Formats: sequence, structure tokens, C-alpha cells
Amino acid sequence: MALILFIPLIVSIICFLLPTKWVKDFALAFSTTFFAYIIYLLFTDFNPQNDFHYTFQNLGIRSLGAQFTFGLDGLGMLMVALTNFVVMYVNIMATKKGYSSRFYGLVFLMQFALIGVFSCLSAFFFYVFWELALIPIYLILLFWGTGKNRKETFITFFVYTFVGSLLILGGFIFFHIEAKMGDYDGFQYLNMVTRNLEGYNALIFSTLMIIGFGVKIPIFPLHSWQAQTYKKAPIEGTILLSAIMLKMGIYGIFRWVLPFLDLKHTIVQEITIILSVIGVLYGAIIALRRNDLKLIAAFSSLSHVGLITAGLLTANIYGMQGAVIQMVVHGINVLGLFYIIDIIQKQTGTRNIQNLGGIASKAPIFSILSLIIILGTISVPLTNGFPGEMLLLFSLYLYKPVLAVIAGLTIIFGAAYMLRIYQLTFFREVSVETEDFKEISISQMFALGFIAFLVIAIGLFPQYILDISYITCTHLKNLLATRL
Amino acid sequence: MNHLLVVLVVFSPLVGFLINGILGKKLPEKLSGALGTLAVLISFVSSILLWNHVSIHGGFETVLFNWLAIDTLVLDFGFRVDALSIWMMLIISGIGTLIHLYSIGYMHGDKGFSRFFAYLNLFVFSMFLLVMGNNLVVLFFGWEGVGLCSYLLIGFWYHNVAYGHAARKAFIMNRIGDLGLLLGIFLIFKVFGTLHLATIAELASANLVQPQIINWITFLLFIGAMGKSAQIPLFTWLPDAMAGPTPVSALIHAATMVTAGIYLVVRNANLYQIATLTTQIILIIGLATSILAALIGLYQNDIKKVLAYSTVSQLGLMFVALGVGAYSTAMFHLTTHAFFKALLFLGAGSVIHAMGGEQNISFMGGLKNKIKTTHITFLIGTLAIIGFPLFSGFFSKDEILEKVFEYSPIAWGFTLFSAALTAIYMLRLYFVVFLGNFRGSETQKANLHESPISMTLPLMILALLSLFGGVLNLPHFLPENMSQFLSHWIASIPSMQFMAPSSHEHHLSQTIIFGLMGLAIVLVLVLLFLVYRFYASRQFNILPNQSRFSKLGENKFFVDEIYNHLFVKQIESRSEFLYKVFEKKAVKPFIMLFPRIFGQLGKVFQRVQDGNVENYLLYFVLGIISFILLILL
Repeated sequence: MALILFIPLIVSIICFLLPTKWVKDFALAFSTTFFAYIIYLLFTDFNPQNDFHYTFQNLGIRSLGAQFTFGLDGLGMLMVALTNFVVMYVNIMATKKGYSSRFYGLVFLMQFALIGVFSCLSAFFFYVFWELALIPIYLILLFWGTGKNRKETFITFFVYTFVGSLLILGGFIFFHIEAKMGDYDGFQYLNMVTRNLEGYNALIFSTLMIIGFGVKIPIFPLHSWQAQTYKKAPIEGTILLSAIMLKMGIYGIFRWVLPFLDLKHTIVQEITIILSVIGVLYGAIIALRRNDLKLIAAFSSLSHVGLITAGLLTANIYGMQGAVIQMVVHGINVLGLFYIIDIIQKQTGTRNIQNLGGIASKAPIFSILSLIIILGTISVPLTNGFPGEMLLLFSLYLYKPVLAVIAGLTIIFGAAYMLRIYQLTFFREVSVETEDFKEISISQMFALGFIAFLVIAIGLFPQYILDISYITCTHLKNLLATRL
Repeated sequence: MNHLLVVLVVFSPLVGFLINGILGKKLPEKLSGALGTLAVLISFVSSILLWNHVSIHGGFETVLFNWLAIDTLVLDFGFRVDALSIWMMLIISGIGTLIHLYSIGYMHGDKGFSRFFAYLNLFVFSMFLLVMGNNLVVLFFGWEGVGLCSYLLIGFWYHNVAYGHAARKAFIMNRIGDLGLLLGIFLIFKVFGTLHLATIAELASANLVQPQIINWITFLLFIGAMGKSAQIPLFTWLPDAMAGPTPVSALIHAATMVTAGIYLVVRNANLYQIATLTTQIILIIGLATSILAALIGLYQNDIKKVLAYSTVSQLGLMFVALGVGAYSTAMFHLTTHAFFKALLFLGAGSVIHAMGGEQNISFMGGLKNKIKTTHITFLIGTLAIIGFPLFSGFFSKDEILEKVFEYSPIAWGFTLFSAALTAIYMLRLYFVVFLGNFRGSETQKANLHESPISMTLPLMILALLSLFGGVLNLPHFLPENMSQFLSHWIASIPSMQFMAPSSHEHHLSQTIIFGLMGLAIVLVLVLLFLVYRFYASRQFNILPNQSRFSKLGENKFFVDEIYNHLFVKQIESRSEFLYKVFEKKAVKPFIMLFPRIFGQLGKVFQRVQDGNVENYLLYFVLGIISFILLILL
């Protein structure tokens, strides 16, 4: 565990020190190896039947009751794998852009923080890593962002998520006091889950935590930082934000909110589910008419993620399992989507779909790979988007059928806006901007092809992922059952 | 062995898709087409072998792997081959093979030749998933899969913006139906605790569930069927879908995919048996669709559009049959319709081919002697669809009429009206295209030619099927060993025994049955005479019609415009409002509250910082390291 956690930190320091001409190859080589290593662990060493793996403890700050505890269960493991996957792709995409050393240093620093978030079993250090993750991404946005008023946008983003973090900290402290955790090991996840709050205390706790995590996800109406930030961020930053950072929020709800829910007083839970479902529809409707590819991806993300949050908070096994697989899948697909956008923007200099067109005749392979990824995002069966969406909608259906109907509209709107993009960009006659569009390079084909492969592979065999997180979800389900 | 055959049926088109999809560009046209056709032919031969097995040993299931399992939700990637699915498999692969063969000629010289065959094979694969899935989720895979292929094939000539719109419209309207189907699947799992089709049928027969819930389930499934089978209100995509190459219209939008809704209902007949309310809705919607589409069909001048509305209308008739509980009758009409409508579409394709791409019938005329094979086969198809005595359509339509009369004479009246409209628009089409004088341009006239053998051979085979297809389910008053073959066949499935003709009480006396049949025959003959007279008097030309009703018909009763106004425009203006007004005026100020406060605070701290980012970074990393060291030590 210590290895998985600290290697990225060491690599980050190395990257800061390395000269620019070596750093990108080093970064790419390392992140690929590291991803391969995690996948190797996942399929050979990791046993989904056990609870936490690779646990690692140290004394930490005893006087605060904050032990330095790490461990990975199925959920954490998947998130770590996703983190490494995303970081690998960020490095792949960065190769030709001439980023300086500090870019790579920041990316790996971010990776370190993310792995910390996903593996930390102490509320105290979870919070430390949570905060830590914010800083590198903020700097990446600031250094390499584009567009006017970007500073204001990024400061909004920073302050907003920072306030969210404070609420989380407040939530933890509140829990610590109200649940009378005592001094020793009071911030330990495994100790915390044995207690729970009731009545108003539970409501206060879940309100603080859900708003705190909700900013990051984002849950409607906390999303306003998202679209502009995505738009002005460098594409690598957008990817880090959408493919992995927003998963921190969902993961946070999974690990730090759900186990402490008071199922007798579910008003906060209910409101959040309703808001999330509104977000599903809201994002999809807005995406229908936008012309900037990045904006469409941002609002579609709002829509998709709303469904994950809603399904997760229904707290039945289908919702939880659906949320897990959809977190992974959304990470892969949104990464693919932004990769496609990046390729188009680099070649044509525009992201406005009205100015694009006819790429299918210029770059057939690129078009087919893009189509597969787009089909994944609109959850066509036998692509990776389907099993999760089905499970999430089903969990909502069990919760309240009408919510499933409303959220289900996303399968119609989702198809509408994604196929609109596809038609305007890839079909039609070529435009001035796309006249010289060239087929993507072999290495890009491999990179994009691997994503397309995952779209189909996970669609055909979703059970591999569901098996990994099954015990986590079952434990949570059983824990919640004892509260009723 | 059976397992292997099933795998062969399903996956040989998939392999065809992969070969043509990946290597297509490098293959010569002939090879590409031959491979695509061969892939479906293999499925056809395997299906015949499986038919043999099913007729002796009954249906069976085979599971490839477990797709998803969470607690009690266990979904296998499994197939079911029984009397019903093998029937569909034979139609799909049989007609599929013919249409693939036809496409070799039709698509000759097209830049996307191999892509076309790849998509077509993928479609056949998805269609097999749909009819062979042993649970509703595999069925749903196929259900959405065929929708996707339909999208790809409608928009096949992707440079054309209008075609792209038609493709999107089809996909999105289908998805509305799909949502209904998906919700129906959820409700089924909630109620029955399983999605396994055979188990659902068993549980449904046990009558343990409240009728109201069954009505809900069946209605939700029917919403799916409305989308896929183009029924009111989700029918407008099908005529637009004619943007695709003609073989696509024949295979997907006439013979196979659009009948998926009928298959879905028949497959869940045990549920529909007890859903009295839903079946009444189905009857009404089926009738209304059938009549509305036929009325529009009367006024269309595009040869493919006429056939498209005819398809919508005929699908409506099949739903009428389902609405009165005549499941095997609906299957019978589905089958004969697959024969003659595929024939008519391919015939239309041959006409368009001969005319150099012209689709407007007012520029045709007199093609009788120019393209003889096409003419004869098209005539056979026309006679079959209008129910000319002893042609296949005669038997299936007559069976529907009889079953409907038994249910309600009023509904019968409407059904007969729809059948009469069918005869009128089809005869109009035939007369205007094939009789009279040629009205096209001189170049078109000079280039009129019969299609190559790869196109006419499928026409001839389909013509034979359209002629003799009636023997599949001859009327019940004939001796038992030669009549009602299809009904007996489907009733061999244990859960569907109630469809057996023998168990069916005949309320109608022989006289009434013969009377009805006689009436239908007389009607067709009279219409044949009248329509011939009408068009003969104007040299088989269509003249602009100024009546108000015909304007309505030409404009398809403005259904598209109404939908556009009611839904599309509304949602689009919501989208603009939410983004341009709501986001900026409501959400943003709300969100900017915190930054404002902190911004003020920030000004105070600003003085402490020197602005060198490198330094911050260094401090920052050093800070973390010392922090960690502190903990570790």
C-alpha cells in the first residue's frame, strides 16, 4: 500500500527536477507501467471476497485520534485503477504539447492525492488528501488555462470547492463530537461505522457532507462552476476534473455519507435524489442546443453524474453497484470524449460543431472509434454505459417509479444531443475547417482504440467490475439494514 | 450440436460484420458482398437444421455466459429456440439472404459498399438477439441494436443532411419507445422477480398478480412496440426512414425490424391474455394507425413513401389482430407481409434503379414492357397485399377480418375499410407506375433497363412466396391436417397451447364465415375494377388534386408539424432559456455568493504573497514531505 501511495509522490518530485526534454517520456513510461501494475494487482493479487487490502497503519497524530490508516476494498481499488488510467491518458495527450516539467510534477502530485483520497481509512487524513488534491488541479488550470476571465472562473472554482471542503471538515468534527467517538482512533473509518447519528444530528451531518461532496460532483444547483471551468481549462485539466475528480465526490458519499445514514429520517437523502434527478434532465436539456463541444460534454457530464448520485442514494444494492460501475465507465467515456474533442480542436482549431462536418469521409478510423465511444456515452446495450444506467434507473424505479421515468428521459435526450454532435461533426459535407482533416496517427489510434475496446469489453462483461465491488456494496447494504 | 448451431446462427453475421467492417475497404466488391450474403446464408441453413430439431424435440435454451448477476437479478447471455423464435429466425435469415444477394447488384459501385454489408450483417445479428434472447435483457440488447443499425443505415449516405436528420429522428423516436419497454422490464422484475421469458409466461398463467399491474406491464411493453413498429403516436419516423438505401427499407423497415413489436407481444402473450384493458388499447391504436397511414398513402407520390405508409398500415392490422387476441393470426400476417412487402420494396428498388434514381411516380408510367421481370413480380406483390383471392395476403387478411368480426362487428367494419384503402393505394401505385405512357425524361427513357440477375432472382423467389405463402396457415374449415399449420406450430410451445385452433371455440357459423370471405373477395374485385376505370380514364396519370382533404393527405395530416411545434420547439426553447437566462440569472449569483465573501478576505492576504509561483510550489511540496516524515517517524 505504501508503495502504491507514495511512488507517485516521489515521481512527482523527480518530475519537478527533471529537465523538460526528458520529463514527458519519463512520465509516460512511468504512468503506463504503474497502470499496468495496478491492473495486474487487480486481477491476480486482489481478492474481492476480502474486505480491505494492503492495509497500512501508522501512529499518526495520536493526540487527535487520527491514525494514518490506509486500505483498499473493491470500490477503492477500482477508483485507484481509474486514477492511474486517467493519469496515463493525460500523459499520452500531453506528449506533443510541450508542457514544462512542472505540469507533470503537478499531475503526479494530483495522482498521489487522489490515491490518498481513495485509500484513506481515517477521516482526518481523508480530509488532508481531499484538500491536497485541489491544489495541483487549481495550478494546472491557472497555468495552462485559456479564454478570457479565466482567473475569475478558476477562483470561483477554487473557492467553491474549498468551501465544500470546509463543510466536509465540519461534518467530520460534528460526527466526532456527536457520536462520542472518544479520543483514541476516533477518526477511524472502521470505528466510525459502528456508530451512527440519529434524528436532527443525522440530518445536520448528512446536509453538511452532501453539500460538501455535492459541490465536487456537482449536484444541481451547485454546478455553476463546472461548465465555464471545463471550457477554459486545458483539456488535460478538464479530463482530470471530469474523469476522476468528480468521482471523489461520489466516492465521498459512498464511503463517508451512506454508512452513517439514518434510514428513519431520509429527508436530506430524498431532496438530494430529487435534485440529482433534476440535474439529469437539466444538463441534458441544456446540452441539446449548445454548439461548443466542451460545453456539451460538460452538461452531459452533469446529466450522467446526476443519475449516479440519485441511484447511489437510493441505497439499494442495484443503485450502489450501478453507481460503482458507472463511476468507472463515466471516467472512461468522458475521457474518450475529451480526447476526441482535443483531436478535433488540434486539427481544425475550433470546437464549434456548426463549423465542423464531414470528418467521416476524411478520417474513417477516427470516426468509427469516436462512434463507439459516443454509443458508450448514450448507453447503447453491449457498450459499457448500459449495465450501469440500467441498474441505476432500476434502483430509482424501486425507490420511486416516477423518478425513474423522469431520469429515464435521459436515454432519449442523451441520444438526441450526442447524435446531433456526431452528425454535425462527422457527417454532412466537409467545411472549410475540416477540409484538411487528416486520419489520426497510429499512436492515437492505439490510445483511442483502447478506450473503444474498453467500451465494448465492459459492455459485454460488466460482471468483472461488479464482482470487484460486490462485497463493498453488500457490506454497506447489510450495515444499513441493521439501522432500520 | 444444437448449441453449436445456435452459436452459428447468431454469430456468423457478427463475423461477417467484423470482416467487412475491418477489412472491407481492401476487399473487392464481389468478395465483400459474397461474404456478407454467405454469413446470413449460414444462419439460414443452421436455422433450418434447428427447425428440424424443434419440430421433433420441442424448444430448448442455451446459455453462453452470465452477463450480470446481483443477488436475485441474474441475467444470462442466453438464447431460446422454440417454435416462435425459429419462425422469426427463418424469416430473418431467409429474407435476409435474399436481400443481401439483391444488394450486391443494387449497391454496385457505391463508395460505401463494404460498409453497407457490414451494417446489414450487424443488423441481422442484432435481430437474432432480439428474437432469440431467453430473457428480456438480451431481447433489449437486440431491440436497441436493431435501432442502432437502422440509424446507421438510414443515414448511410451521410453527406446528405436531410438523411442524417431522418436517421436521428428514427433513433430518438425509437428511444421513446425503448424507455417504455425498459420501464416495463423493471416492473416485470419487481413483480415476478425474474426476467426469464419462459418463467414469466409460466408465472403469468398462474394468475397471481393483480390485473391492474398486468395491464401496466403490458402497456409499458406496448409503448416499446409502438416505437419499433411505428404505431400512433410514434409512427412518423418510418416514412422518413426511406432515406436509406432501398434494400434497407425492404429488410429493416418492412420485413423484420418493424415487426419486432408484434413479436414482443406474441412472446408475452400469456401476459396480454389477461390484460383486457391493454388489448383494447392495442386494438384501437392498431385500427387508427392502419386507417390513418392508409389515408396518407393514398396521396403520396414517392414510390417508397407509399410503400412506407403501407407498411405502417399493415403493421396496424397486425396489432388489430393482437388486440382481439388472435396471436397466431398476427404472426401469419407478419409472415405473408414480410414476403410481399419485401418483394414490393425490392421491386420498387428495381424500378428506381431502372429510372436512374427517380422515385416520383408521376415521372414513371408504362414500365410494364420495359422491365418485365420487375413488372410481373411487382404485380404479384400488389395482388398479394390487396388480398386478391388465393394470394398469400388474401388468407392472412381474411383470417384477421374473421377474428375481428368475432370480437366486434364494428371493429370489423373499420378493418374492412382499411383493407379497402390498401387495395386503392396499391392499385393506384401499380397502375401509375406500370401502365399508361412513360412520362420521364428522354435520357431516362433511353436508359431504362432490367436489373441484373442478382436483383431479379430474389424478386422471383419472393414472388413465389407471396403467391403461395397462404399455405402456411390455411383456413380452419379445411381438413385439419392441411389447415392452420402455423397456429398448430406456435401452439406447440407449452405456454402457448391456448393458441391451438382446436381449443378455440368457433362462435361463428359456417355461413357467416363464408359470407365474410365472399364479401372481402367481392370488395377486392369491385375495387380493382373501379380503380382501373378511374386511372384508365386519365391515361394512368396522377393529376394534381385540389380538394382540401387531399391537401391534408399530401401533407401527412401535418403530424410532423404538430409534433415539431408541441415538443421539439418547446424543448429547444427550454434549452435556450435554461442556459442563457436561468444559468446566468439564477444559478450563477447564487453560486458567486461565497467567492464574493472570500474575495474580500483575499484582498487582505494578498499583501503577504510575492507572486512567484515556483516558490509556492516548492514550499508546498516541502511542506507535504515534512508532514509525512513527521507522521512516519
